[in-house]
Amino acid sequence: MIDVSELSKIFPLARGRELTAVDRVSFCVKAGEVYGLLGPNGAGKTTTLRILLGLMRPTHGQAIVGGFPSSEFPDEVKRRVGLVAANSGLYPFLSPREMLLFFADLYGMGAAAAHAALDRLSTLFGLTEFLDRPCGGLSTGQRQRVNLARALIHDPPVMLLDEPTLGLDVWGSRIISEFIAHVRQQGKAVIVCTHHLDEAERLCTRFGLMHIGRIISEGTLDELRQESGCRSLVEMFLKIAQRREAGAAP
Amino acid sequence: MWRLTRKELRGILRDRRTIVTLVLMPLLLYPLLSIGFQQFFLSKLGTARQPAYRMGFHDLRDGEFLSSYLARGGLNLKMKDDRPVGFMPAEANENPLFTAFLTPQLEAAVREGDVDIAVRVLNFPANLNAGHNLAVDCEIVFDEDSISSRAAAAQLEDYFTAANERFLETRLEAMGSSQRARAVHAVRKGVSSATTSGDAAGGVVSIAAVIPFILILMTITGAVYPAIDLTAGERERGTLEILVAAPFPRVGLLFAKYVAVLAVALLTATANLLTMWLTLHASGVGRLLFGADGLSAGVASAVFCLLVLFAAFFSAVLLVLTSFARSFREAQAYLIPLMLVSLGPGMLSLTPGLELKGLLLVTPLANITLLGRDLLQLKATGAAVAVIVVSNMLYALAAIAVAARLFGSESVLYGNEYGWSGLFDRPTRTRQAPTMTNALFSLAFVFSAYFLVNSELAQWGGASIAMRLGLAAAASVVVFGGLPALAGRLGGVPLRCAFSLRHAGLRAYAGAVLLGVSLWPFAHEIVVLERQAGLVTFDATFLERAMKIIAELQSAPLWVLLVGLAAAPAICEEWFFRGYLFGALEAGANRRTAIVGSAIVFGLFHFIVTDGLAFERLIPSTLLGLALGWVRGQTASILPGVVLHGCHNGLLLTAAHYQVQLAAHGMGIDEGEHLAANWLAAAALAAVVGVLLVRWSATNLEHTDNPREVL
Repeated sequence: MIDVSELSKIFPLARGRELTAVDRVSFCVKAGEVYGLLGPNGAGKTTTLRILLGLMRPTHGQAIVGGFPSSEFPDEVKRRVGLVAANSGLYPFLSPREMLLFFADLYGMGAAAAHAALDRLSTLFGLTEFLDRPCGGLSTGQRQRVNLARALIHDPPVMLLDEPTLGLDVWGSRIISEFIAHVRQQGKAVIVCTHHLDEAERLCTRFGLMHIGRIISEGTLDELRQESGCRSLVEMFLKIAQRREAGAAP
Repeated sequence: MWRLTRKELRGILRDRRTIVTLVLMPLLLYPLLSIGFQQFFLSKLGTARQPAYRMGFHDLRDGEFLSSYLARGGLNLKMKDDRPVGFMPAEANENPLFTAFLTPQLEAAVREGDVDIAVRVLNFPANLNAGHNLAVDCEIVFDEDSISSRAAAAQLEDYFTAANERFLETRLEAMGSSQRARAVHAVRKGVSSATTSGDAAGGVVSIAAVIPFILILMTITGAVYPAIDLTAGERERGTLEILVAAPFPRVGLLFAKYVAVLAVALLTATANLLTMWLTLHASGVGRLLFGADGLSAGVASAVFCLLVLFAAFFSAVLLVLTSFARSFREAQAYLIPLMLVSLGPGMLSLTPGLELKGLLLVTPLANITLLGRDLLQLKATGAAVAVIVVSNMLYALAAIAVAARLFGSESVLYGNEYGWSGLFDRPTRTRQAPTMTNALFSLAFVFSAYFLVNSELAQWGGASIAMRLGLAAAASVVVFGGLPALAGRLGGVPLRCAFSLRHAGLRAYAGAVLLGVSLWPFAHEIVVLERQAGLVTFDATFLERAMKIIAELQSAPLWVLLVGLAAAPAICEEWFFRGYLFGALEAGANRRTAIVGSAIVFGLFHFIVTDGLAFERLIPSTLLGLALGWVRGQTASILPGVVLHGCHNGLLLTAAHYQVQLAAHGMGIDEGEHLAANWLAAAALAAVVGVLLVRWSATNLEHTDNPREVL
């Protein structure tokens, strides 16, 4: 479903300098798979997702979603992807109902299909009680649920989640966990970007550990344990990263 | 699109800040301004040391009678032997000083500003004894367009009232008989100096220019908040990324936002205009500023149309800046310089005596405020309105195209993380056609440059025809050739692609020649029909100018005419309209839109001439544009169009050059008469053959595996 090959993104900086945010990254995600793109802040995870979605053009390489290269057919890719980002906001003066129907419209859904999806997602995420209240007055948890419903309104086969639990409490994080389990059950291909490695351990089926723009290790949890000799993702990430940095040092 | 716009409007109108700007601001502002204006005006009248008014009388007899009578109301007269009489107020330094002049032509003197007011005694009394019954009628002639004249008339009426009351008291005391309440009844008679002189011409800031300026400032105030909220606000609240992550064209998103900003701006303009109108009406300031009828509904409607145009332009400009911003604060920081820059042309319009012509007609904002002033003074011309409407609409389109490019672009969306450099990068890959943004921007520039160059060339009336044609040809090359070529280069489009410079085959050229020589009879018939329908009226000035031009054309060598008025316009105009503009419209929309769009713009360029509007050229030029667009679409090249255009112009010029000789051979054409049926039949036959040849060449182009080589 998702095929990323030799993807690079270089940003020009002042005085002729450059920043390589993503450096020859390659991975695949199949339908029904939850891929954890893990790494510290600034590793290049979010940039990779943005290129995947067609919001940024890669400097080299390509990302293919559902058979469409994202830089050449961004609209086809966008039609197949639902995005949940930590900083995704809501329109304060619209109600969840209005907002979800607005996004259904943006994704080209007919009125009947949009209302059916709204009913289904309202029940699934428990939006019914505040469906007609302005989003500006909702709690953080309620807002998060509206955002998840918004990402699913057009029933995309691919879900991209960028730091979905950032700033959420235990209950909020639980909603996200249940959401990921739900979309996985539905056979969607999911990429979760996070720097909460323990959380990823519970949610993801396969992992790509990113460090300074590169994927330094990739595989299932067992494969990574075997490679690193560590139990937890936190330990193995630190170990692999240190080994790489030592190897790179002159 | 409507649902998107509705969502944007819903979000904006539910925000209390919008309501405050929309409703409360005008409700508070105009009554306060009105009170302030009244206080200012009255205090100016009251505190000024003996404000001086010049009063005219027809003759000394009228002056002596009225001065004697007005003395009863407190206006003391000091007579001088053979010089104009002078009226001194009873209490010096408190009331105005009236200086009188003898002016036989009272209305003319007031209209020309020689005196502020004039008084005419309509029925001079036989017996001037104050003890007798007195019934005199007077006219106070004043200038409806002058504040000082209206104030002087009002002051004089007060003196008449006081004098009448005093007279009545005296009569009642003496006789107690029935006496008319006002022994001398004076009525005002207004004259207008709007077309000859006025406050502006006299060196005073025109109040008429202040009104549209205030309304424009208030319309800006209404548009600013939604423009920021719908663009920079999207980013600040984190909805921009999910919005552009949807498969919806950015230009569509931006257009919905534009319509929403425009709607709020217009609501603000309506609320302001309505409140201002009501305030002017209720407070009486309207009568003080605009005469006895105040601000009429017709003028208010014209000002509203002007505000619609301004809102259409300024909403687009606001969206360009706010689309660039990443937060509310940043957007506000960008808008402050815009406001300051906007004040410049706006203040310029307050300059007394400034005429709306030349560069000012295409200067954004200044043209609108000056047009507002002229509308209020009933001085606006149709040509000025057309130039201002077209130029502002083109500026607005260009601004929307730029805003759409900025809104949600990678550099703006993530600019704070990695810098802005990407935004100004020139395209790394060559394009096959110009972008819509590039073409609309070029169109706005070309229109302004075309108008300015034509205005400048009109000043060269004394030069020889060859010199003027040479300059016109050079200007066409620069405006229609140079500007788009530069834009194409900056946009990464090779010249051969940008301007569709392709070989088109002999059949296409043959078809173009046939069309070029056969279309003019139909253009002639359209003009005749327009004239018969009363759509076109040729006034004496126009006919005189046309005759002069024909005489000049007949005196110039034919080759000069053919180069200057046939070849140069054909090459340059096809280069831009069917080359650059057509290519961008076809790539951005489709061929039909490109044909119709480029034809309408082509028609508009021929409709607006330097010193007026050539209505008779609008329909024929647009139809010729459609024909040229169709040929361009069929042949994928501008070259057959150049041939068609050149043949069309060349034939008409040759006919005009040899008009006398043709008439001598019985082939003269009367401008107002329909052509003979056999001429039309021959033209139709040639046109059909031309169309078939072009179509035939297009069929071959579609079926060939090897597209014709690009030049």
